[in-house]
Amino acid sequence: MGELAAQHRSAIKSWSATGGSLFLGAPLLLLIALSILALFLGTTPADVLAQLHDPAARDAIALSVKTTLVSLAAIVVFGTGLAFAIHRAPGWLSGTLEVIVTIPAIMPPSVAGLALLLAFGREGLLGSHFDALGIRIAFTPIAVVMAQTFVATPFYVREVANALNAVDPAMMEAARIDGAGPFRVATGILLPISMPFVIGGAILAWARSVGEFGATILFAGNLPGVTQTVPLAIYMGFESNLAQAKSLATVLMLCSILVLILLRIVLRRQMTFAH
Amino acid sequence: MFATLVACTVVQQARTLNVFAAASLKEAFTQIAHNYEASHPGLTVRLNFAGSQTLAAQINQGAPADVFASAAEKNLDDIQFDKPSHRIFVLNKLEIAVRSGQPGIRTPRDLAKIPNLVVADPAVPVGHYTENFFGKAAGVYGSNWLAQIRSHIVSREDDVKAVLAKVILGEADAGIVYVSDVATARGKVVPVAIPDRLNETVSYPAAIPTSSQNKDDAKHFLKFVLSDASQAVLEHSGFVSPTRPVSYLILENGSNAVRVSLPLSGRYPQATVRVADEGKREETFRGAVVSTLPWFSGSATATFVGADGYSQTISIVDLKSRKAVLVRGSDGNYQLIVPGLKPNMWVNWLRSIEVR
Repeated sequence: MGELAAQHRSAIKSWSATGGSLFLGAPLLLLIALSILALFLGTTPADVLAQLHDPAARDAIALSVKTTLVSLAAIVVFGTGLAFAIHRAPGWLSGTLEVIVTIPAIMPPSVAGLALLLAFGREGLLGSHFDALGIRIAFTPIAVVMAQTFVATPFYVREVANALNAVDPAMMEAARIDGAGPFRVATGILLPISMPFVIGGAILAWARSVGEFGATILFAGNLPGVTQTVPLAIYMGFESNLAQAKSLATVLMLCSILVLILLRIVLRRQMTFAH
Repeated sequence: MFATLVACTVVQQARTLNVFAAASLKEAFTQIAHNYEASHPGLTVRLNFAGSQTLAAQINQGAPADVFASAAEKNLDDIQFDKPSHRIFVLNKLEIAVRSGQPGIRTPRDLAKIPNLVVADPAVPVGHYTENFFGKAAGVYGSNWLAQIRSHIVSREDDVKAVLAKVILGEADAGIVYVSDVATARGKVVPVAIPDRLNETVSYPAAIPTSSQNKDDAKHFLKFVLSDASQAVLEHSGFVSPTRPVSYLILENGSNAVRVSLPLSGRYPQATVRVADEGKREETFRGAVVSTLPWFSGSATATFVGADGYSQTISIVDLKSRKAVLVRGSDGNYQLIVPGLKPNMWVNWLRSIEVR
């Protein structure tokens, strides 16, 4: 069936149709491509390198790398659990879980930051109890990680849950008949088949957490070296150090492009596996 | 479709005034713009509030601004503006906003006891003034105090309203904001005053950006901001008006403070003095004789403080021998005039006198 689809695709490829459709799509394409081009033209590689030697920029990058890796680990560990729960739960519960997990993806990040503050802030729902124990969350790197995890979770969980749901039930049934328990089915069949989507979801979630801004500045504040991640440094730099803001923005942009290429490679591999 | 869009924008611009104002002006300017719209039918004032550094960056990137009301001269200087339109329209000071329910925080020295302090980023005007305050306070409370303060800063926010919000929400125990911000949050935070010698007097300048498309309305609006009615709105928000006269002067002698009602004429002896200005032209002033005010006879020096924070300390002997007078200006404000001293040592917009 896959081969048939591939033949189909090559049959409908045509330069004239591409040109016509591109003409219609040009405004959107220009909007995106021109902005990215302007960003790259706004700075030189030498500038970027020079700015990256600045301790403030380095602090921001180091903090972003550390916090996003912790967020990613949390998302993969707990998110895989959530994805399996969505996959296995009865219809109504599965649907409810999916809706809850998806909310952060469509929620404005500033709303997410406010919500986190009201839940985990010092006078928040849960935060007030933490505060009584002497635990502070707001204004710490933990708050940065929580903000990133909050907004990036849907990208991983939905990707993995969809992959699990797409696995042919007959295959799992066959394994069960052969005596495999639920754990064996999960580790022996479900996970290996879904692996490209697990990796793809993880990459997407990581990219989202790297770019996280609104929830972080509200919930975690802005202190260089402690809670000032790269997007926050870019925002503050826009006002005080435009050269540094542009350099950091270029680095983030390159990072995003790299992530997308990586994603395509991972998912292309998956396509060839399926064939 | 593009043509319609462009046409719409052109028509709208003729009837819209874009006012970019510092975040600290939010409450006052919202009210002033509302009053202005009410007296100018058909004109819409579009307000844009943010940190002054953000507004300057926006204007430099081509954002349409007809009036820029900044919290600092530095940020206004970042943009191109029509020089003659420049006006200082209001004054402000720093104050400490403390989260309610924290006893024992009464002076800036006590700030060192506060574990979570939020300030504005030094790129923001209020953040820059906060750094100046820390510098001056360190001279009084010691470098150890400053080190403690620095280690207690948990966030450097993007504008003054964000600092205030963190204190109101209870996330921070204290924040450094403007007196005017504390005034907008009465009952939600506890104000702790910063003494004048450690404080910063912040002059808010406004001007019309060169790029403005509606300079006529902008000029009228600026005039309106300086009018008595608008200045009263600003004063109500905790700002100090440089143009609106007060109804009294504060007179202090260390432990006591009294209010001296204005005007002074009729209650204190008047004198006429002649002074030569820088151009050697003679000018005549008539005003109340300073040395006849209460407590002056038994004291050594007097410090005169203006609304803009400018102050001069002069010995009583000098004030007597030079026949210093307090002269009422046409706007009702008092000015200290000391014949024989350079006019730049005279204090404008007099608000308080401290005798020692």
